[in-house]
Amino acid sequence: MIYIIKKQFLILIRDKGSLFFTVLFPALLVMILGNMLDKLDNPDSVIGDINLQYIGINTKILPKIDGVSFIEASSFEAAKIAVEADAATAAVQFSERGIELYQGRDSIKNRALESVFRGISIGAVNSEKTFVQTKNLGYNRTMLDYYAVTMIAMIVFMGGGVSGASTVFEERKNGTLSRTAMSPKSRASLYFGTVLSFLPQSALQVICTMLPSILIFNAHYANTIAGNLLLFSMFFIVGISTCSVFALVGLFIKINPTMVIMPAVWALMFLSGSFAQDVYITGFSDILPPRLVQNAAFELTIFGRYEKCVSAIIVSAFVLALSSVLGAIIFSRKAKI
Amino acid sequence: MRNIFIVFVNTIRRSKSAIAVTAAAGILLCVIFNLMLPLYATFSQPGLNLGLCVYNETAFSADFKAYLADDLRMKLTEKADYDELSKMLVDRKISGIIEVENDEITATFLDDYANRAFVTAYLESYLSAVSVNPNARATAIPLTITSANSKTAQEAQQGAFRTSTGFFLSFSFILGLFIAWQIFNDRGGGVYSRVKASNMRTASYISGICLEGILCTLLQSGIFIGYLAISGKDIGMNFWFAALLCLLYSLFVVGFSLFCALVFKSQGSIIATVVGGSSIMCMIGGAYFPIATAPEFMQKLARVVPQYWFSDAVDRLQSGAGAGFHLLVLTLFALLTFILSGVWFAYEKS
Repeated sequence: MIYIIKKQFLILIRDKGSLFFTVLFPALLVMILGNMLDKLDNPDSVIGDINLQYIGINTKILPKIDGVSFIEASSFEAAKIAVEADAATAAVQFSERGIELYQGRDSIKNRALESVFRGISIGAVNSEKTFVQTKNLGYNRTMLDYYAVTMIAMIVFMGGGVSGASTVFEERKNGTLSRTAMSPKSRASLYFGTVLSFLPQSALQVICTMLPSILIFNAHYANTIAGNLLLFSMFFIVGISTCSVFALVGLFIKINPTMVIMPAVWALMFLSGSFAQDVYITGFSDILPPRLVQNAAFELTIFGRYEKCVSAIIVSAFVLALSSVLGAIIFSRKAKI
Repeated sequence: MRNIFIVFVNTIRRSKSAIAVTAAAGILLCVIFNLMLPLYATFSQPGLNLGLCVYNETAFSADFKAYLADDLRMKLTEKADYDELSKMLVDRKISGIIEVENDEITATFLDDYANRAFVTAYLESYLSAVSVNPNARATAIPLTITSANSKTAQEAQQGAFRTSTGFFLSFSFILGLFIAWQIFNDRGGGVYSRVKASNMRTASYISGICLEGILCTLLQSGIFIGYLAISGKDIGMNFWFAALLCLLYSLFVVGFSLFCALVFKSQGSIIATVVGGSSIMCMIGGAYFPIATAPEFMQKLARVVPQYWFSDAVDRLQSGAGAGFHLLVLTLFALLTFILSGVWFAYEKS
């Protein structure tokens, strides 16, 4: 059995393509996506500085907000011309008709100003007294932290799926499968050996994404060593069980599994929000395994709750055992492999 | 010339699927453009997303909710469970959590929320008004809003075109993979060795393969740009200029794939370089996300990939600036890959 594990590991490190996708690609994606999307990761756009020209308003009623400056204009028409020339964000005039707000082109600033003047229109006054208590949530997650988790999920599912199914396919293509089956070892033990041979690959995949993410890109996983070990264990066992499930699938696939499994797993990851957290289908995405695993990881990394991680480990172990036994039975009984 | 033609015809015969796939990619680009249009048209007035947690319903809480939702047009997510809202806040699905308990309001934000001051001001203004007059909303002064300009259909079309070009940059590499496979199969089947041993010149073999690649890319960009031109869409630039940009980029893709196929000897390495390399180049180059929001070092890094020059050229042309230098850089990128491929082929032959 140890020879089978050794052989699979050598195949992995000899193939530059597999090595690239296992070792380098996820870490690079964490870095690129995490950095590029960091500033886009907001539920609304940043309002920024507002430059408002006003006429006929008692300045005492204008709210004091950082980044909002008020300039008195000579006339409302002059202020409107300044807005059209992008020299001012908006122009406002108080008259008998009420408040007239002339907005510029920036829809985000327009929305903010409209909200401010809605408040003034209902009689808001500036006072020293504050009515709203504000606080920080106490937890946070950057985009780098988000992708540091989802890219491990991607590599364990995509890498595990492709390599699991390809193992049997490649052996069959090279003619080594039938020769191995003729050895004195029982077919069941050969199959279990193949499943166990995914151990180093699965560990390597998780380590090669976690370590560069932490050490080079400064991503954050769990706050404690125990939490990080639990996270590693969860992804590790999810990786092996994915390999095992797809090795079982590979027994039935006659065409190159990469061409079939890669797009299928890609779609699964896409719908699970691995590439963009906004991609989410209510009621469907929640039951997808990558999403469940990612959510368990986020529960641990953000809130320090480990229950879902433990559940994921137990379910994965069960799936691993079931798929391995099923695969061994089918492999043993299949007349033509 | 005859040799080029022979290689070209043979390549066409062997890769009919490449033509079908690139034509499908061209049609898909048209579909993506049309899917993007409504998104850009409605993006002009996005509402603010807030989570609302009302612990006990009162007349005050009902009026406050109406003020946020109806007057300020905020998108409220109402949940009794604060924990669930805090998960949504961490996921950035909402900007903040507003808790209402009796007449007291608590607002919770993430520490890096840039619009915190504004949101707090909106809430304060309502509360200061109702502290003086509980029927403040009913007795509000009329507010008239007019706009200098609003988002036009043209701007939506230009935005949709800009996004679609990101997909074009990515889809072009599907063809690249076909070209790489072609040469890989030539090598595996012995054709490549026979060509190297024959009196066929380096340029003839490369030109023959590339001609087919160029034909396919012309088909893809031709369908896309042709559709936009015929349907009279405003893409913010001259259609011929857009076609030229696409052509230059396609030449780069063909050259890049050719080079990968010549240099790498295994199927895995070719897939890794073409698929992995193109994904990373497209991300770094700003094909999917605006590069202006990336950190400074990534903005500098972007300049080493042609996707940046393509995307930046589109941005510049749409804003009315020139992009002559960008065209030159794209041409140089394409030339570089072809020269490198030729040199490598000649080196292997010798």
